Amino acid sequence: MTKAITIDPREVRRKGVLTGPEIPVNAYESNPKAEAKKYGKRGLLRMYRDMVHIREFETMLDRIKKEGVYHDIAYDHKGPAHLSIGQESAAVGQAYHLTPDDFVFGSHRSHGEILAKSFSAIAKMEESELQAIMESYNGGTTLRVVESFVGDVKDVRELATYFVLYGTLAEIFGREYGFNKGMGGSMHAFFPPFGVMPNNAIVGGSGDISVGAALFKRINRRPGIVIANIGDASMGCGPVWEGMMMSAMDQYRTLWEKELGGAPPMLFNFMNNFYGMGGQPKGETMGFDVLARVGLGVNPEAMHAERVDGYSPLAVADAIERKRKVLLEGRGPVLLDTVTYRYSGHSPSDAMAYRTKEELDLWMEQDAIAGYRQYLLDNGHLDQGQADAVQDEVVERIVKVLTAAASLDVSPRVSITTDAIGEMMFSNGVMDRMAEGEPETLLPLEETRLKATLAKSRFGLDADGKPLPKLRCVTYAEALFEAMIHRFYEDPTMAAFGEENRDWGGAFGVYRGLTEALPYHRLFNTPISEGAIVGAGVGYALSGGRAVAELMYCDFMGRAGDEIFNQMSKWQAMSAGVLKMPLVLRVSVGSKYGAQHSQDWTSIVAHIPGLKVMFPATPYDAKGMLNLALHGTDPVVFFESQRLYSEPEVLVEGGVPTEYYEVEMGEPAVRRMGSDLTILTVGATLYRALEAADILQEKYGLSVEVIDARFLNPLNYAPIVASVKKTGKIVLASDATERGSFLHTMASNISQLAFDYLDGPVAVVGARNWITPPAEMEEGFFPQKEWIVDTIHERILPLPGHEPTTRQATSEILSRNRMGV
Amino acid sequence: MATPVVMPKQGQSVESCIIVEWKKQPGDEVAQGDVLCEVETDKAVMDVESPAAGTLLALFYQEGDLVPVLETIAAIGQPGEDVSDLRPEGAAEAEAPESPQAVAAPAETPVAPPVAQPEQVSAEEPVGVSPRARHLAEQKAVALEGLHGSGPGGRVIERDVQAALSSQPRLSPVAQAMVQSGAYRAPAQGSGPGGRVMSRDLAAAAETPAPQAAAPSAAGAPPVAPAQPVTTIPLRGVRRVIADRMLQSMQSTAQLTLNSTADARGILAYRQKLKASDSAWGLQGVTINDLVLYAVSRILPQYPDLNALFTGEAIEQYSDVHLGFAVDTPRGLIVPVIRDAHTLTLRDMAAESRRLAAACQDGSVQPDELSGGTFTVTNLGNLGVESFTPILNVPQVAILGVGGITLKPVESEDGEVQFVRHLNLSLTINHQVVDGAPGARFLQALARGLAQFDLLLAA
Repeated sequence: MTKAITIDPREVRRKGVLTGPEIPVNAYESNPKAEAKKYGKRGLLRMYRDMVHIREFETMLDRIKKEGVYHDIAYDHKGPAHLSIGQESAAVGQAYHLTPDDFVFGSHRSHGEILAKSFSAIAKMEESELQAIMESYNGGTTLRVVESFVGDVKDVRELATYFVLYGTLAEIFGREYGFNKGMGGSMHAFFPPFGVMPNNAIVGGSGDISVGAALFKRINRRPGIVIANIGDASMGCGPVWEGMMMSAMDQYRTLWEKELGGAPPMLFNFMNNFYGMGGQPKGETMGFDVLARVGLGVNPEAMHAERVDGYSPLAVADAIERKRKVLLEGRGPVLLDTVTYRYSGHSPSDAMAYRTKEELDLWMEQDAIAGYRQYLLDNGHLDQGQADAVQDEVVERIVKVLTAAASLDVSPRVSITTDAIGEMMFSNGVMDRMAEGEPETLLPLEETRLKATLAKSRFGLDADGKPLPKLRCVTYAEALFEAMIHRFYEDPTMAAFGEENRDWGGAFGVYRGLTEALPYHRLFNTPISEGAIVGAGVGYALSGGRAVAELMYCDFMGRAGDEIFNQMSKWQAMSAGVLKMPLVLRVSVGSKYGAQHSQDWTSIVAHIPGLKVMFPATPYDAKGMLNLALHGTDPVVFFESQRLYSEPEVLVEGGVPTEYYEVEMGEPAVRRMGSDLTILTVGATLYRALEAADILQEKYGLSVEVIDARFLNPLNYAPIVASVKKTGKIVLASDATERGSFLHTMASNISQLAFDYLDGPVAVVGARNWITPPAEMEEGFFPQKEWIVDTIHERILPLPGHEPTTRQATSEILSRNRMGV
Repeated sequence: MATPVVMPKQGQSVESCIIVEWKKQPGDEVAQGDVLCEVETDKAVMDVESPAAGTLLALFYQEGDLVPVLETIAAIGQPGEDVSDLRPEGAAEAEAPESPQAVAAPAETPVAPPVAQPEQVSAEEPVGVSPRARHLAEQKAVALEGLHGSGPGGRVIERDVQAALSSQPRLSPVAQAMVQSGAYRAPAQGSGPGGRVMSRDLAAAAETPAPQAAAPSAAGAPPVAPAQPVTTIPLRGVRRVIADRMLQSMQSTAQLTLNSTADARGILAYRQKLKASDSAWGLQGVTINDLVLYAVSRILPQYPDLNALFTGEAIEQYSDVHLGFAVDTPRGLIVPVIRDAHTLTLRDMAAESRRLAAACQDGSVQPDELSGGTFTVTNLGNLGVESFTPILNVPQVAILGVGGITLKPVESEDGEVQFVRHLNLSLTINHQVVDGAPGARFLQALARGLAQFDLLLAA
């Protein structure tokens, strides 16, 4: 979707044959002399020491899980421990050339990667910098514990080594002084100051999040590369493919400003240990034979793919050094197929029914640590006495760290009797800009489309209350635009992306005018990869930028299920407040487009802890609530209605303000005052509720109060309860299908908060539990004004002389549920 | 194979009966025809006889249970026989000494319990009351009992309490506060302007025992009366029917009673004549009441307004007279009906009334003999009552009350006043559908007919 690139039939129809680059397989050849020169004895020994640390750390965890004791220290660890014993060389080799600015994202099996990357950072950072990080992290509490058990350690790097071992182990054990206060645990532990980014318990989960981090680096001109360490089996996951597609988009080189530096520096590193839990990608569950082959399917460079021998730390270090250069030159993405093997089972419960003892023995004979030790011995870098000393020193450290981490006195847990965890769910921050700097724009603000929208009537009715032509008024879609452009011109980190966002201006025109105002890297089109759209938003936001991801239709959220439910919602709390998630996900609730384009899924996201959920129903709120969402630091799923995009403001006196304003978080709006009955709505159903209120007033003399919830979470129930205390009767209505609708949560809360004031049951009117039928039949599916009136008549307040035209009696609840519809 | 004992079907209109008393217990030997139990419909009490000889093996219902007709209520057979096949679904086993492993009480009773219908005005607390309505009722001291619920399914909702409130006396602000304190209850009428209830009315009312008001007496006497021997009679069978019907009658109709007298000299003389007649005629037992019944049966057809039923939607007038008359029995008031009374001779009518009265007394009256009346006569004259206001036997629209015979001064044509025996008559009509004048005309015709009974006989 760009006029800048012509699709020429003469070219695309021309006969030819495709060839691809060769994919090197285990091409590294060891040259001990050159290696000695390159790394020095010091560097070579550091790699050995780091591998031994990881091996012993995980051996300790294995003993604790299986035997409950390690060197006479007993501990019962109830949580998971997915070990990577056997894979240490792949992690250490990878980390060697990385700087603290380089990010590694990982998987559920990333203890080794955490330690390796941290040790690498410790070796490279200034002592003062290390000290400052330890002093400031968690307010210095973790460092205080470490100091209490290490004894007199003068060396900052030695102290930092203990700090990393303890911070990781305390995290695995779920302790307050762990890297993430125990909220992440074994599968999610991470430590951003050393470039150790979130590890993900969802297979392939890092595959698209890390692309967002790489985009953040490129768009905001930050140093370093981003590595996603994911398993070979994750090549079967859609989000991994989506992430690869998004990281390989041509536009980075064809359309984005050259000086920005090209493609995002994204390295997909498949830690290829040949098993996906118990399934075997090579030979059983996949067909690529050699994983690196996949690069051929992604771009002409075949992702610079290589298979690397992960059992040689030097081969891995060499590959990373070369690929890092490619990435910093903007020629990514890169795919590495790092061959390795885990001796430990998938988890402690693994009976290894899927592989033979013989196979295991074959690998253990070639054990990377033993092999590398022999290499060091053979080349005179190490003698047996030094090797033994390294082992003893490591065991001593791990014993000290385990003693401290296992003790509940030294390492308590976060209180679960207070609301400590609740306080971590949202950062509730307000930030004009996520980073300092001048926002990059192409036009002065006053010359953008804003000039046109500001000139329109801000209210949809004339002085006599008659509707003005809609084209002359600021609409709901334009109100959203005003909020977007405001923040684009305030926050230099803000980027928006999704399908048809640029040029087209979004499928419903909300972004019309932004294409002219913003450079490509701040507003761009993505592949049709909903998972990666949201996942990249997650990675972008947790890296420090403000992102607005857009899914054209609400129904497409299904394609981004993991990213919304497990990633966007969870990382603030799983980081115990270390990360912020200033990500606004815009989704549009459709109509007239049938079963897969007309669903209101607010209930589904409102159910997930960690998300703020908003659904404005008027242009005033569209702008005021999007302003609010774009000013905060929390993830917001922002619902919009296609019934409303072209509508002007007709409810809020004075219309849509031209200046900046925000709606108060969680506050419902009373749209009409009344005394006899309350109707509470979510979304565009508001207007049908107002029509129902007119009928009730005109035909039955009832004064109806109509409240627009606006927010699903957080939500202040106080004004709703106050209304119900006044009227005693309430009906809730929205376009979401009735079963499991969030309205039932609201109804339950209202019943409990206002029970003594109720004059009838709290009634819920939702869409039928069907597919959405064709446009012409929608009135039988979505709540209509008659449904609301009939529901009141049948369930709450029989209306004298009223003849219901729809079936809303309580008996319908029984029969419909019995049928399951 | 054990023999089932079935609840007999007592007439066309009866769907279920209450078991009043089991006369035999499980384990008892019974002969065919032995009375096993007494059952009661809303109109009569009957015996259920044993259909076979043997041992009473099990009772499937207890005294007081309401049992649908044709349901098996007991089993008779040889000791040790399995009767589980005969047990109706859902029936609880009555205490049976031989079967200590009695099944648990059923989750559902076999027939709907006789609860008040939601739409029916009843003295019980309504089926459902919204929390808001209950709260308002408490605050404003409105009794929920008897409130008509206008919400879904008959639920009492706020507007019902408000409606009840608006029909209550207005309270002065002080009285309002006193009522809200919960310590006082407002009387129906106050002493203030326009009947407004004043604080002094509340204080006065509090001194008289009020069941729900804790009177703030200085002595702090307990509000509960000292213990007295009390006999509690559960409301069931005939008594419950009477209770419901009487209340329904009073609450659903507009009753107007007209009083008159009839010169009784003619009927008294005639009665003497009957008493003195040859016993072969069979007329000696004819009573004054029979004479009244006869007179009514002959005059009523000329006044179809009164020989009618009012269904609420329409008035059904009858040309035939099916004459109900009140009979006092140990179980309560029963009204048997003399079919086609207008066709019977005096002697036949007297015989029929005597037969029905006896059947009512001994409980053998059949349900079909208790229904279908178009007009009712009730007589309290023989109990020394001079005059009274009968209550309509709905859906009938008129009922004649027969009082005692009293002396009444009558001025003769020559101006002389003499005391003449007169029979006191009171006619209650449903003024919804019968106006006063037609009622009065009927009463007048009846009085004339009684005064000239010999002529009436010839008519």
